[in-house]
Amino acid sequence: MAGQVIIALDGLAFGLLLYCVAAGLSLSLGVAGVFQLGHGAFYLAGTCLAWWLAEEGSWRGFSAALVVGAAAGAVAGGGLGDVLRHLREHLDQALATIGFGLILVDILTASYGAQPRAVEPPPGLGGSIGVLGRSYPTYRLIVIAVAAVLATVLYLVIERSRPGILVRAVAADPDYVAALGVQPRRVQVVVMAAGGALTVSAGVLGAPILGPSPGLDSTMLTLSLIVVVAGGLDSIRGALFAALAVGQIQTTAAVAWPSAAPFLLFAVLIAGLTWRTRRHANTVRVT
Amino acid sequence: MAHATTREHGAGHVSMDPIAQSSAVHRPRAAHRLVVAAALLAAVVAPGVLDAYTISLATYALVLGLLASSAYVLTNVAGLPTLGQGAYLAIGGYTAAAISHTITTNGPAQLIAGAAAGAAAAAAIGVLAARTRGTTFLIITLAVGALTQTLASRAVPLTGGDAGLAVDPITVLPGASLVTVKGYLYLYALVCTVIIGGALTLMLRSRFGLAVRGIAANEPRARADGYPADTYLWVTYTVAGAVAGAAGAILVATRHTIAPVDGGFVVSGLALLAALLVTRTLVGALLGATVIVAVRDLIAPNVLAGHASALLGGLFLAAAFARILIRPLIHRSEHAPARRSP
Amino acid sequence: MIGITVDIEDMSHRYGDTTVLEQLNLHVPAGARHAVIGANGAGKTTLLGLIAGTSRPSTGSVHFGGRDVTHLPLHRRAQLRMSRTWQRPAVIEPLTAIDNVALALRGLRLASARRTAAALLAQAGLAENAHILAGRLPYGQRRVLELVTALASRPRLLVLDEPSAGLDDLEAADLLQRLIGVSDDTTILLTDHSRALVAAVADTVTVLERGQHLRTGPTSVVLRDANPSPATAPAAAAPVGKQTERNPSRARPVLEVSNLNSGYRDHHVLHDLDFTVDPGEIVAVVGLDGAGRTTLVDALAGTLPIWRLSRIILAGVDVTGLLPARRARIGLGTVPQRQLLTPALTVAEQLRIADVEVNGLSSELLALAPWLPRRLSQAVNTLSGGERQILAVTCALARQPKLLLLDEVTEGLATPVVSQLSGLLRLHAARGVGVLVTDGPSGHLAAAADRVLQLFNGHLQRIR
Repeated sequence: MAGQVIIALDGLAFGLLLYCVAAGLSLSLGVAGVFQLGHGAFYLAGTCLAWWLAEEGSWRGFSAALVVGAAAGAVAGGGLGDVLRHLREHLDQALATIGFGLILVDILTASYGAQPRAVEPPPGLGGSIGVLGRSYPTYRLIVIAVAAVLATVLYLVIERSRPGILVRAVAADPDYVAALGVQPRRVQVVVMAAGGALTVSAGVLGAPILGPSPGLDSTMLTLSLIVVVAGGLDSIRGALFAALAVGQIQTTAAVAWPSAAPFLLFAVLIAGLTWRTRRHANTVRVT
Repeated sequence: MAHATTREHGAGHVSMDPIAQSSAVHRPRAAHRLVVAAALLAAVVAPGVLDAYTISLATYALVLGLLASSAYVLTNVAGLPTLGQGAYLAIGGYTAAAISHTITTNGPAQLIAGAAAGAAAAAAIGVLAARTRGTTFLIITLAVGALTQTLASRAVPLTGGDAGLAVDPITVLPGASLVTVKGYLYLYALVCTVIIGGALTLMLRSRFGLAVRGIAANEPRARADGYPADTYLWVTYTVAGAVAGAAGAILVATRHTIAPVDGGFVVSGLALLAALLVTRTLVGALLGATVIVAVRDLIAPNVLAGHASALLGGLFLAAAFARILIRPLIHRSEHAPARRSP
Repeated sequence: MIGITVDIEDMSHRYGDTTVLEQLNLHVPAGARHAVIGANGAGKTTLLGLIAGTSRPSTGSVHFGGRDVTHLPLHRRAQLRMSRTWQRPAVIEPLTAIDNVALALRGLRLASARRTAAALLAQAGLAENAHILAGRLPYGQRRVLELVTALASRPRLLVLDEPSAGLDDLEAADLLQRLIGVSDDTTILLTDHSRALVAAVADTVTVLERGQHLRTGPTSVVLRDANPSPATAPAAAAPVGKQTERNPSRARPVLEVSNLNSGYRDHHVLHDLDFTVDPGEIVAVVGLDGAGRTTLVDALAGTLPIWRLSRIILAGVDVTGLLPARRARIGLGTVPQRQLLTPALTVAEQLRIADVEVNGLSSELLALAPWLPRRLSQAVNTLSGGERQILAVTCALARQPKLLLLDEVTEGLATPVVSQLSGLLRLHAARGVGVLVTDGPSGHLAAAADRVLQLFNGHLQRIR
């Protein structure tokens, strides 16, 4: 019983982290209409930053990694959003972001040496505390707390604040927002920047749990795409449920029956898709 | 007067036309035929002039070219952009390997089994995937590819895990000896590719192919003509799965190994890139695959040793932006919309 | 082979809370030529879509020749030999004209289908362009191609949605001849805004009003009784010159448009429009569906690219190349025809991003929308079409625009609300706001306007 709780906690930590990554992807796809397949590379960049600046675990290095990561993520995300809007078709955007991701991953891989690296948590967070009579790494509880705060803030901003309402309005009808005197493109670039910052920060935060390693970028990309599709392209809440489910599958199921995890993930994808009404282009353009 | 202006614009329109490049597909021009003939000739004489390493690269280019053909059929013909054809390559490859270990070393038999396995898997996934369009389809195929790769690396008893699986050489005719010479393996792959490519061409030129094009370009019109769109796209997805499965079987037959990464995200991406890189035709997909293998395995080691994937990344970016860089040159015309008045 | 009967029983159709069609019953006998007419938003296109199987009714049933087809999708109905066309010609652009037609000839082998298609195209006068990609054909020829495609399979039922939309007089006359020539073995169901076309083709007419069946009867009787709309008599209208004689106060017009040309990639919609709107003036642009009203609004708002030599000057500023948001900041308030139909926002949220203080709503506005304060937490897409329009007008007015641009706002509004709305517009006009509204041929807002311009085939004429 206690063992299952421990694994479920792991799943929660991973699920919340994944939510932060997927939210960035969901915003760029839903609001900016940009199909960002370099997203996994952004996460990998975050873990690499943490490894460079805080491998041995230092508060200064860790906070520097967070600040640099958020800034670099914002610049790269916003820049990508600005460049990619010239590519109208999602297919071209997919090609361009795959290319961008390959180049970024290539540089990162050269820097961390193409082998799994461990990153120490900041001093004081490296120990364990007792959970139901078992010891549990303190840092994972911190990640759960921080990611939960990030998720809550994100939710409140999108659902309650005026900028958040504008963001949703741009996703629904950019022309209407333009009629209000707000340039939808600016909103889109800002959203892409926020998504980039969030993803790289999540990478820094997650590095002590899951350090830089080959294939981490495509794993995170695939999982967050599953979260986005299963949760709904325009639903911040749906993405949260999907991320928590995927987090549990990745930990609980991976322990119980490793080969089943891919099938369960696919089941989540199908369930999410069929649950929502299917909307495919079935309408003829009208004058 | 009003009538005259309309006509003028109609005529002006012909010169500025933005319609997709697909015209080349069903109106094979002399130039196109010449390219096909030249490519085929070069492919046939290649083993006589190239060294063993280059021949093995050329063989892989054929495998990737077949995978790109399956991506081409989905992306360019059916309008369903895919990033997951690698999954069916892996399924076909592991099936061929299993056949090789248990039933027969006969290459064509392995090929048929691989294609059948790819088709069966695609038919199952297609029940869901072929009902979606656009970005959702792209994401589903990507997820299918990634999850298949994960499955392949975890199902160690069947697949040997990340280390991969070693496979015995094939025989081509029953009772004949094992084929191990690289040049012959290349020719085997070439013959298979030409046969499959020819079959695909026939399919695309048939009424079925025409209808699939129609569904991609204007689904309501095609449905109003009486074509069940979802069913046709499901069949197309299944055929593409079969071609990718066949590519996997050829990979196993010619390289004697298969690992999960052979059907991974990057390979699926390369297949899509190959389908879009040169000209958007079936032969273009094969040429695109050749270019990609040449860049990755011939040029990259000399230019940017150890950074082949960055070079491929550049190729992806070039392919994405080439279209918008070239488009304005084609579309410039008197009545093109102007953002700003003179 | 004889035409097919169409029976519609108790059919209703709703989008969210909006009822588009209400309890409709209709019997169309075999071989009939049946037209459905009515104002914008009456539900004609919806009705045709439900009959063709492009969408499903909320309740009720459709029978073809006694067979229940309510739940059959479009392609299954097509296999029962039903054909349809769309308001914008639906052709398969990357295929040649021949292949477009050959695809519709499902029973034949491809080679002989192509030969038959070539013969059909030659009969239709498209022999020269038979091998050209459909996307490269001029608009009028696409319409012909679509019709040839629809007729190729010798359908027992032909459903035509606004076949004359976007055609010039010659092309429309040509279309009319083709439709009259369709074999008696085909039942024809159509909607069209051209009374001439309806009168010449149809033997029976059904009139819809706001989703309700008004009457069905012989064409001559129904058309005689229906109000003649101003659009049917374009000859009576005088062309609009440069409007310099107006504007006695010599104040600069708030909107000056010259040489406005616009349209879509394949379709030149607006031809050389010149007009102005003065401060405090209400100008109505009326016209048939497909005449280019929405294109005009999109071109002015900046959401549609305009073509060279066009000039748009807003409050003295040349906004020709500016983005929509810049135009809005210069003083353009737009109420587009369709707004925010997703459940993304609530009423309160939409007011909030438009910077409308709920407590500061004027009494005139509250008289127009007494429901507004009660519905703040409701999602915008649960409002009725009319309520949504009023909300959008409220948001646009809150920004104190110099020019208010309203596209088809009266669609779906009850008559008392329309007169209240025109009162509100008059009030703001009195404060110096220029107002440009678009409306159907017999629109109610046009009656309240200072000046009425008519769009006909993309040209502008002054009628009042």
